[in-house]
Parts: sequence; structure tokens; C-alpha cells
Amino acid sequence: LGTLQQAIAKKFLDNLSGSDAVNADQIEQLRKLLADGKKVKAEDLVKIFTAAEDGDVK
Amino acid sequence: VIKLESAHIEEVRGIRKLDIDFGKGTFAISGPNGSGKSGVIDAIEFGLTGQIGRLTGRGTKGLSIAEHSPHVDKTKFPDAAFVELKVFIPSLGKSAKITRKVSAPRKPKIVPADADIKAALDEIADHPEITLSRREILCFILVEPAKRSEEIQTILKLEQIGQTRGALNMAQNRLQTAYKIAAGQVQASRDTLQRHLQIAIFHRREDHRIHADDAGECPEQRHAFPAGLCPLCDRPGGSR
Repeated sequence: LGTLQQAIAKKFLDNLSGSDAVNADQIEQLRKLLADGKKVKAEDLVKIFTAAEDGDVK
Repeated sequence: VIKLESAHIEEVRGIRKLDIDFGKGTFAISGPNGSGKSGVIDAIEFGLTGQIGRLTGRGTKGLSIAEHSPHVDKTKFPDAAFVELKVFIPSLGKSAKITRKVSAPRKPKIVPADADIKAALDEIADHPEITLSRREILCFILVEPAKRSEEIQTILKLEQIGQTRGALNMAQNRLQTAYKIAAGQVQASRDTLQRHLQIAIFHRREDHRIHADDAGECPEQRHAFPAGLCPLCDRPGGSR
């Protein structure tokens, strides 16, 4: 991402950090995905935000 | 912010050799069609960022800086194509000279190579949106209002953010659908469990424990456990 896009992505992640809707681990995975430079796909995002099977209910 | 003092352009786009003194001021270029006005803009953009916006984006598939930015007579000699810009950085109060060859667009020679000057020029190089082509300006003027935000994204080189936002929306829709299906399954399982346990209201485990301690008296729902142990916490529930 270019600098302007990086700034937008950083602000987006900062806003997510301040919300209770997403946990820190998911934000970190999202940060890595956005920093990767590849085209972000919906499937990748679904994987991040889907709870692991047999995981604890939060 | 930086100010251009002068430019020396060689074998870039339609320009063989050109020296311009900008004098740190506002500069306008005029001339007939095909005289190379846009080539000057391309050369300045290349000198500052190592990129040429007109060779990227919509409708430019197959174009590249290496093959299409040197003068047509020098396409086999990209080393001969270069831009030398003298710039002034007001925030630092310093001048610097950037020399960038088409053969090595990401490795400009900067003199003096002070860290603060390099940082300022790196920041500019990371902003491909510093130039607007005639095509981009016309597109913005002609686009219908509903698609104007999309056009601004294109002008500001924010297509990746738009694409990422689309992916996030798609993921949100898929997750919401999956959530609704899962919530329906939970409700169905809960109903089945309640039916088999013969209880009208399904409390959380903690509630049952309290009720069991209170000899099975439910102050709110007044539901009854089967005789013996509470089916959820395995403690004596008693009767109402």
C-alpha cells in the first residue's frame, strides 16, 4: 500500500483496537494481512474472524 | 512540501534534452499538441517518485517505466534516460539534487545524502498522488455524482483501499449469514434440550446452582426440576 493508504489502514486498525467487537489477536492478524501487500480477499478475512471449531464460546 | 529549483531531463518520454529553471515558483507550460508538455510532468514525477502515473492505472496494462518512459530512440538504452532535479525543502531550509535513472528508478542519487533530506524525499516518493493527469481531471469532471467517490479514490491512488473495503463488506455479509445460521441451530438445539429435560425456561448453569442451593425454588420463572438432581448441575433441586 502507498503511504496514504497505509495511513488509512493504520487509522482503521487503531479504531478497531478501541472497540470491544474485535480481539487483539484478530487485529494483529488483520494488520499482517494488510501489510502483506497482496490483494485482500474476503475468504482471508472470514478465516480471521471465524471462531475456531470446538473453541470456547466468548 | 518541496519547491523545484530546476530540472535537467534527458531522453525521457518525448524529450531528448531539456533544462528548465523553475525558480521555486509556480510554473506553467504551454505549447501545441504533441510538443511534450505532459512529458515534462512525467519527468518531474519520475524524478521525485520513481513512478509515472500515466503509465499505471486503468487502461495502461502492458505499459512499464522500463520500456515506455525512455525516449523512443533510447528504449534499448535505459541508462541514457534520466532526470536530475534540484529541489528546495523549506521545512529543512536545505537544497538537494536528485538524479534518477530509468534503469534504476528505485535507487536515486541524492546530494547531499543527509538523513533528513532523504527522509523528506522518501515521503514524497511514497505519494504517487502528487500529480494529476489530464485524463484524471477530465474523468473527475465527467463522472456521474454517484461514482464520484470512486473516482476520487482513483485520483488519490486509493484503489487498494477500495478493494479492501469491498472485501471487508463481503466478509461481513458472509459472517452475518453464518452467524444467523449458527444462532438458528443453537436455538433449535436449546429447544430440543428443554423438551427432553421437561423444563420450560433454560437458565444459565449459575442460575441452576443458586436454585439448587435454594432447594429448587425459582423466584422468577417458578419452573420445576424433575425429581432428584438438577439435570444441569447434578445437585439436589428438590421441588417447588
